[in-house]
Amino acid sequence: MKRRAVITGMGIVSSLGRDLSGFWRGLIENRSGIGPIDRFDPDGLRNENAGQVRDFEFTPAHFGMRTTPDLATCFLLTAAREAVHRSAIAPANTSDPDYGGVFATNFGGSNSWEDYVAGLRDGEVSAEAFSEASFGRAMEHGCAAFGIGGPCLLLSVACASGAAAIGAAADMIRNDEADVVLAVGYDALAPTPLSGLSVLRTVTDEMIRPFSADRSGTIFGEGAAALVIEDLEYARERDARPLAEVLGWAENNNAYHLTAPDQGGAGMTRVVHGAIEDAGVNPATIDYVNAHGTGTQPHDPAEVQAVKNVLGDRALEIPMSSIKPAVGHMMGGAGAAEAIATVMAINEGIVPPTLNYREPDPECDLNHVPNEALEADVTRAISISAGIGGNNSCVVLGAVR
Amino acid sequence: MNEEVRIAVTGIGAVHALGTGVKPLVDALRAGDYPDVELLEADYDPEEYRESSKTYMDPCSDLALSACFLAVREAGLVAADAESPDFESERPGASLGTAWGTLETMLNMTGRVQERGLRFGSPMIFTHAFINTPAALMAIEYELYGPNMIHSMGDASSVAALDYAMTMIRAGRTEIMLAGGAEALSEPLLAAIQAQGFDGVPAEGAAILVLETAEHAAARGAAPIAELGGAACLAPCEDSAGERALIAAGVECAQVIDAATVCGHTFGASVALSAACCAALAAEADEPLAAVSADGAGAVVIEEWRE
Repeated sequence: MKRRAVITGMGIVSSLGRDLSGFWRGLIENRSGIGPIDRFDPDGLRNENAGQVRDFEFTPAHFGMRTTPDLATCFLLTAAREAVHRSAIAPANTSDPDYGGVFATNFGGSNSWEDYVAGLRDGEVSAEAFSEASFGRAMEHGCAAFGIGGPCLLLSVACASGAAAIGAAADMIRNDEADVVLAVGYDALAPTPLSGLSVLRTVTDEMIRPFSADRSGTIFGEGAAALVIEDLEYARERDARPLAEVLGWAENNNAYHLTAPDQGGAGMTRVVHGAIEDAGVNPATIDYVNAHGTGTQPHDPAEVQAVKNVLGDRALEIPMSSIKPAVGHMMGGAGAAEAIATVMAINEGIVPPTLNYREPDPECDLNHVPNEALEADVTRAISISAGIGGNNSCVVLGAVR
Repeated sequence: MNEEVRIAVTGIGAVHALGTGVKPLVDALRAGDYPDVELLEADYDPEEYRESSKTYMDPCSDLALSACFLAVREAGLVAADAESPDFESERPGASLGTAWGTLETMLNMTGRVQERGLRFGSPMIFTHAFINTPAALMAIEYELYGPNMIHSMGDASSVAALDYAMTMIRAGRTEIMLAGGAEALSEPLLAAIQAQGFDGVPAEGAAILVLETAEHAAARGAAPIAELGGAACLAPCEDSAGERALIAAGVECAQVIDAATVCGHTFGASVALSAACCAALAAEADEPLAAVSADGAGAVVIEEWRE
């Protein structure tokens, strides 16, 4: 019988909440965690606001560590700890070969990288800062902290990373490579990425307003989102409650341009189609679309078009919202955080809103759930992500039957 | 996933300290020529291995594209006189491993930001500084609309890339992938790895294997060079995962080939270069060949192709 991948625990660190309940409550109470950047001087950025995580404390001893790792890794470990705790998976004392991990990021140890480069300019070579900046280091910390000894990946496809991590983890379960896989998307705000995203003019100089005609760009954020994904039979044997099933997924590339969207959302159309095909479900049974919805002028209509291309008339009947105005664009964490919001929508019967919405756009003419959460029965949903480089990913999530 | 799906290696592209192509590596392995220098830069001119002209390229992206250039030609996917590739599948993909990726370009970007301020980042430099840029450029250059992934997990990076490509093909998500690894060296990188206590011969290089289903290869008349028998990439453990990785990859014993002995240690590209050698040597080997990551966390098994 085909193995089924289900989600049994979720954890998150975001600007809206430093745990799952805070995040979800903020979303359905129509609040935003976006505010002034104060961890470093934001002077020179197009926008001095972001979804910065505040009042965050990290205790290395909780993870068997003596020193504090890079900030992004701290987010990763904290979100993962909550997900593991909520799944009630017994923590392994030693490396468990049936326990896998998939870690996904856009910029890795970005704050340690700033430290490393600042050191070089002063003639110092910090081996420690360089190690913490290296992408693979976060994976080593994650595996050690949670006893992961099975299949393992650290992947990066820009802002499509988080959703791809969930898909790759589900594949490990479906392919019988592991019984349980921890999937985490994570990133931290840091000067270099924010400077780059600002000069690329993807960032708005006022507010993030996805799907609104007067949208002018996105706002970035930070944090981590973690999901414990396991084989359905394995979950049942240990009496764990499955929150949702990862029905299918896909990732791809536009093969068009590093930053510009392709014609008519062709790449995104292929990725949504591929995910639904992988899930083996009828597009007419999708109840909700959790959008990438960055709030840039070219992206939002391309995504709406892609959804229409695949879902047809069903797209006109169901909500399609973006949580980015609430948490900021969490980069490598975005797709995983949005999947968590989607799983919550399935379980709670409430769809999170698209905040800051003002004016209808004829090119974004679906139900974008403007400004207020919406009660809705959601049995199956898709969550879409896209990133610089032309990378796209999409997951199909459903209630467990 | 259908484990009955056989995966053929139909093209090998490699750039490294000994030159280009897999032959110099295989010749040196046979002769037992070991490098006696401290640093091994890839010895080639990237201008000769591009499909289109470029305004800016990070060295890692250049290495990856050059290895692709050689691999797609050997696989017969691009005729020597053709302007664009001739993929018959609609969703060819790319999967690349790199430990440090576009570090040199990111250093350039961070240097500007730290010296001049947040307003002075360069959009072009930033766009080329993403670690997924090399795989994205592979997609753009060769119209790879399918799965596209970067793996960055130290020495095991290109094991992950080959394993991922195998999983994508066996799951039926694509029939053909360009998969391997690329690593570029730069002064700040060398300073860092020396500070970390690395005592091998650091080198740069890239290797790309064209992987496709036996049916896809047969349909386009491509002759398999070798078979990708298995791959596994495990969490880094205190007790070396090497043996477990080999078993997970499907064999209990195999002859390990290590290209680092002839072209230096290429970090995230090292297993891809060793796998390229395995593929080239498979037809004459008496047993399966394996490439194992230096940290022992991953292994790739390559065997002779048998009809």
